[in-house]
Amino acid sequence: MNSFLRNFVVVLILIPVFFLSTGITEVFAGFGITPPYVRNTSLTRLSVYEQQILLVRSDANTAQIAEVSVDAPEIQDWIQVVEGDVIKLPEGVQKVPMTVRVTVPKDADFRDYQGAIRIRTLPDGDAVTSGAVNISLGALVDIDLSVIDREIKDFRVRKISVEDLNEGHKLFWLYFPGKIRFDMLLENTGNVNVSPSRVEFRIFDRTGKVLLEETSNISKIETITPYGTETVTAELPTRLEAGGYIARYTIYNGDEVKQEGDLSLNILPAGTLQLGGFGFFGLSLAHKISVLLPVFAIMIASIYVWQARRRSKAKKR
Amino acid sequence: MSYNNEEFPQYVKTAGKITVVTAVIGVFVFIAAFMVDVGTQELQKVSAQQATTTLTVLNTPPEFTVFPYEVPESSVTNPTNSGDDIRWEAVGTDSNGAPYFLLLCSTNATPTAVAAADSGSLGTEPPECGIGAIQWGVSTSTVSGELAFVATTTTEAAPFSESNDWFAWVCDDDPFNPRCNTVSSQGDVATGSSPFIVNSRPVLSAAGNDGPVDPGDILAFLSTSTDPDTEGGEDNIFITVCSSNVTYDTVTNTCSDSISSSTVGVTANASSTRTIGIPTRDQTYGAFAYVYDQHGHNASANPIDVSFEVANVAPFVLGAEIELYGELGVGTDLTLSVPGGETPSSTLNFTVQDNNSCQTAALGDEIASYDFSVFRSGVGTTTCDTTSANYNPNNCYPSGVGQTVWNYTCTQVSTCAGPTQTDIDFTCDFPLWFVADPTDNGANTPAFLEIQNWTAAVRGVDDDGAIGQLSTTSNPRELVSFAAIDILAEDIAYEAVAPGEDTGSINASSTAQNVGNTGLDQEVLGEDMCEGFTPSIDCESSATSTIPADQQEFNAATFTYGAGTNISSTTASEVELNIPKTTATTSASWQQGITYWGIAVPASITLAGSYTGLNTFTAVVAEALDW
Repeated sequence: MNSFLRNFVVVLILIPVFFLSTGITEVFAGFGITPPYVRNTSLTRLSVYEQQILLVRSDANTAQIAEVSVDAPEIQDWIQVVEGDVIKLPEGVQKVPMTVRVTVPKDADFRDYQGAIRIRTLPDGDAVTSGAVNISLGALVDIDLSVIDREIKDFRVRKISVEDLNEGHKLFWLYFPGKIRFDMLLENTGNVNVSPSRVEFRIFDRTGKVLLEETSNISKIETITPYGTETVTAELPTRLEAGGYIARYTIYNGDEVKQEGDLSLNILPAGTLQLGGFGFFGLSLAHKISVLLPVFAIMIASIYVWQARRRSKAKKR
Repeated sequence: MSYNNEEFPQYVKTAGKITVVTAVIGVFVFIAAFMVDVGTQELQKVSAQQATTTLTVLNTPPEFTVFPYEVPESSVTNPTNSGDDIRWEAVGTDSNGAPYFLLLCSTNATPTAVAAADSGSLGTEPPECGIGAIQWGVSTSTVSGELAFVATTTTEAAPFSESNDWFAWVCDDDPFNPRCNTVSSQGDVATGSSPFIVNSRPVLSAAGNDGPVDPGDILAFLSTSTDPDTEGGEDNIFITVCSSNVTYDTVTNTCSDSISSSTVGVTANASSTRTIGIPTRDQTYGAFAYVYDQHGHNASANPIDVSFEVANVAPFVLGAEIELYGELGVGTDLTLSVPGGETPSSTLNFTVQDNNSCQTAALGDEIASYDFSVFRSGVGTTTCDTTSANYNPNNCYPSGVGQTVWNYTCTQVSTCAGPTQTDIDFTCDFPLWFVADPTDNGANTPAFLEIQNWTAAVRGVDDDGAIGQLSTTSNPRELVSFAAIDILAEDIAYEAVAPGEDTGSINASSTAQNVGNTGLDQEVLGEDMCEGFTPSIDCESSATSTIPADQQEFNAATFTYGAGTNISSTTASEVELNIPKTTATTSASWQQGITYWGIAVPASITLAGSYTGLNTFTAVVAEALDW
């Protein structure tokens, strides 16, 4: 082979590799996920737990897709990505939610389980640079689950608020207290229905120095299903007159204080707000007895008279 | 008949009585002698004679038919305030039907009845008190049997003292024998008898208050005051404070604009208190102090200006009224969603309250501004104290750093309706850099971060520059882990390789940047390379035109081909780059790790041309130790 032919062959062979080479260009087109995990250590059999994960990117100028693959051999069947295996990342949309649903079968062993979900972004429409080893970005979702055989009653307080209320009022001798409505946005972090066991208010004057009243909820607080996040309301009676106060609230889960803090409490003159107050349930024990006692007395008297008449008729016969 | 009273006081007392007695005795002697010593003959003889006798029937003095009494009563329990009139009433009856006078004296020295000029002038000459007695008063001439009264205006000067005896007489002014009744009267009505009591005014020397005080605190009005009265024990004194000096009623001792009044009397230095309401503006308030005694008698120095000052207090924020949440909405944790950038739209809501109200006396804004900071709890407010000095995008965002550095925007979302309102609501929208420390319970979150959370501290500043205490939210949030990666190239730039050759020690490289808030590792996955590769169309299995993915090797350090790890097209491989968490926001300082690449082109490749492939770089949260 003469030198010309030899050089030609070498060049011909090298051509494909040259095409694979391009200059390094600095780009900032990052991709990430938050949170990078699906974690729950209080699952029980038949639990259904959902975790939302945000897929985010710094450059949303082009449409992309995210391919999702679950890599969790032991629990592959438990894991479902609600949006499917391919999630569109439309042009102009910088973050897209992805929901991972974990459904624990009824025969799951009580132990820990691990796995991963891999997410890979790809250009929508196969738009890759020809002749190059392209780069795609992805992220790994760590799966860390525990199935347990005991109940966990726990919750997290995400938000609290209290509305203005009417002061209490008298009807004859009965005093119907004002009703404090204390709203709590709670996340059930346990595995059974849960609600605060008790909510207490210590109500001070506006300086926060003089304790005027202590009260706690007198009706049951609605429960929240496992892993759910809902607003529930505690209703507390107050006998304070109209005015502005500072209330120190405490939210209990059993003996544990889940949250406490100070907030303003505005009690308005009776009838200012179109809100229902406490009915019979809000009366003091003495007032309840004062209502119930005559009722019971009448009932007993009626029964006695009825019985007496029956006996009388029986004798006549 | 007149006597020298001073030399013959006894005569004064018996004057007229001896005359009458002597005359009566004379008549009895005459009758007796006549009946015992004279016989019938003489009587018959006498009866025949004319006998002339002379008898003067003397004037009789009027007498009380209703004993004197005070109107109203003047007693220890119900004295006559100095300056008020005291009045006595009584009914006297003169057997002659002559008019009479009611005379009130300070002692029982026998008064002097004064004769009228003639019987046609009866009732024109009032009697006078006896020697040494103070004459409290004498009535006008009063028809016998009708009510007579005497009144005099009391003073705190002589002849009045606190307790004053009185003796009453009724006298006539008979032109020939003017007389007063024999025995004086001090009244027989328990509550209206002698003495009468003159209640002196309390003495108010000075008054003031212990202000300035804060709204909600107790303001005391103080006085230097006494009461000179001692009858029945020292008098109690009281104080009433009015906001003006025009509405005080001296009779009821009240005012329509009352600020404060004492409810319990004291014998000296009367004082009263008032709890300053909330809200109350910080300014000076007019006040006037009035001191009075237990009988309602007012001090001469009333009123004294006791204007008080309500102090300016700093605004405050309640912990449960600081609400912090992330871009996903109310109640959510803080999240990051911009790799290598600032994630906008986290929210901080708070309410600033001021017990001086939200409105100044000049109708301006009492709550002038606010400071706040958002920070990881472990940093604390001592460090992240809202000033710019400790700004750190990893863990401390103080408002003092300014919006050019931390681009937050705040808006007042409620208005101040008037001086009865104390609070103003604000909402702030703020960004967080991608380096903000996570505090959630991610599998690899360092324990020292996992036990913390993110919180916010807020304080208000008022129009006078008073700065409140920093309050932290009662409801802190977690900041969620954010695993994010960027590769500083669009492709992997291999050198030219001939079939049957590899890149040897010449490595291509890919630089991974940590653009999230965790430590970062990397997984890689490759695709076979061919001319017509697309993500959705795999390369056909061809020894001559497809370069398998596993012909690529990678390593965390430079290497000679053959010493690296082959990339898989099916199983992701982790590259232990151990990229620490990025802590700086400028791209030049972002943490990064380099993956080195090599490739071998199989000798069977005969197709020259463009080979296209795709390698995937997957962000993996690094182990906690590698952050």
